[in-house]
Amino acid sequence: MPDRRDDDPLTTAPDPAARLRSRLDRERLARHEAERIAESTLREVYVQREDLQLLERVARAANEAENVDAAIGRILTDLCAYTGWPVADALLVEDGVLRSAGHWHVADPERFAGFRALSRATDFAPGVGLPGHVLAAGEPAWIPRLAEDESFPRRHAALAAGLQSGFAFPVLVGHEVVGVIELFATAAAEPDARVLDVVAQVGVQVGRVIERERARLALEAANGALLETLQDVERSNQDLEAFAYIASHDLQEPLRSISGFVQLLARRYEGKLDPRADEYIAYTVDATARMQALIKDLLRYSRVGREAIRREPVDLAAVLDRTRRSLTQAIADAGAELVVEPLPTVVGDATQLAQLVDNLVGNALKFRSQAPPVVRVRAEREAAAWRILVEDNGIGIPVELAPKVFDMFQRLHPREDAPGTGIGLAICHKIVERHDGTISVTAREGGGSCFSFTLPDGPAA
Amino acid sequence: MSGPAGPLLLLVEDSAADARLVREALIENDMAVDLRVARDGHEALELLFGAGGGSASLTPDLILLDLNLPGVDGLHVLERLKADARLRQVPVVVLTTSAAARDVGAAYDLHANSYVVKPVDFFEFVDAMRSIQAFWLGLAQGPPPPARA
Repeated sequence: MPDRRDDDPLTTAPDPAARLRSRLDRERLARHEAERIAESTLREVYVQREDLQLLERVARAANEAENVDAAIGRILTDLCAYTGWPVADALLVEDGVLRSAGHWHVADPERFAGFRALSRATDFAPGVGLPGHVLAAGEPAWIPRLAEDESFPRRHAALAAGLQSGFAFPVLVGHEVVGVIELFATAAAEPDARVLDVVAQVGVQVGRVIERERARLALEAANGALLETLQDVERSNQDLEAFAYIASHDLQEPLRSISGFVQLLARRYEGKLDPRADEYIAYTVDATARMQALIKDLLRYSRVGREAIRREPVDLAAVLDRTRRSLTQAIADAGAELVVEPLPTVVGDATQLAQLVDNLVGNALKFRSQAPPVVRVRAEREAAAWRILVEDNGIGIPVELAPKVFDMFQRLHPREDAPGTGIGLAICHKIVERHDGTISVTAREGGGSCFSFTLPDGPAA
Repeated sequence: MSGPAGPLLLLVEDSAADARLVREALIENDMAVDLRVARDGHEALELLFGAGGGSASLTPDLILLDLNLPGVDGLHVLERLKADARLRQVPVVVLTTSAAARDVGAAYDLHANSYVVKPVDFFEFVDAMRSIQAFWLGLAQGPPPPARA
């Protein structure tokens, strides 16, 4: 220890040699002390670096490995390198027991073959053996001397292979033990708090890999199920359309006979039977005409769904010209005015778009109010689409029923007031859908409705 | 058919009801036609080529041919007709329910002279029959009578 007097030449002994010697001794002592501290610090640093390196390697394995197997394999190797212990294996929980996942790291495969075979063949229920204890407790367990541990069922095989001690720690997903990793040494080893601390973190990392794998599997399963459902729906849609086509096609055959002969009856025998017969015939004629219209529309609907659609430039102004011509009679009968504002050229199927516009304008004329009908067709530019609007001043559609009007056979009005099959707007919906657009209807202020649909821009020509 | 012998029309049609409707349409159009009906392809070929027994073969002025026939189908009948020197001159109007492009194309490939889809509505059918008659038995110049042997 430093002596106060030594630092003060005026009060120290006069022997300079003794003074020097004592100073040298003190310095030597101080240096030893410094070296000891340095070494211990270094060792501490070194140990911490090892811990950190292990955790870093484990984290990298957890992140980089392609699957759970690869990650666990790498981590077992890292653990053995870290502890210097020759044997490590991982067990995963399956049906409530721990079962070897086939992951092993052994330094000397031949020497540990017996122990490994036994471990692989053994299932560990909670509380049984080293892994079972970890599974039950959810905490690491350490056996310093296997020879003395009666509760270690693989004792004989372990001792035969020269294994002396072992420890195991849980692989955790949250608080759930999903697996156990165990390591064995060929010398007796007392529990090491530092090691247990580090491997606890390793257990959490491995748990993350398993959790990620579980999520991936669940997602894949969900995706698979979704895809299957989608395919089912598509298939059933196709079946339905094929059915509609065939059914309506084959329905036409007998219907032509019924309709032909009942029309002949009406023509040749009206007034020649009694009045009631005439009435029956009239109803039958009417019903067959309705059936014909239905079948025609059903065929049209299924054709819209089945046929390949063309993607070509379509001048909507020209389409509206044709609509005006084909609806000349209806427009005249309604005393209506059809106002067509400038319309763009869009990309789509000319035939289907004409059918769409005909249907919408025809509807606007059909569902007219007391006021002289005015039907206005105009276009609005949207971000990457044209919106085409067909506005009328007709009877309008109650807001709550608006989404239903595009359903098949949806009729809002009694047949007597508005003849039709209830398929027209379903066809419109289908056409717009096949053009990747949307169709909707809104009520206009002051009465009437506004049907509008969008036609997305095609790929740049 | 009795009465004034009009042009000879062969209808190949398996449905009795449809055959009757053709007959009624002809009556509606008030046109005298000698209508013969073959109930299937086999019968049609027998009528046109003469049966094995040596009965006379028929050379109609116009053939109305349904495609969907039991046994020997309409396209086969058409093929046989158009391969025959005498019969290939006879105009054949395919009169059927199918509007399938495949059927239409196949019929024209085999040299059908025209293809008409039967309208469902009876009076539209009457109109269609009137047009067929007016064109093929009126406006159009038919093939010359066969040269005498």
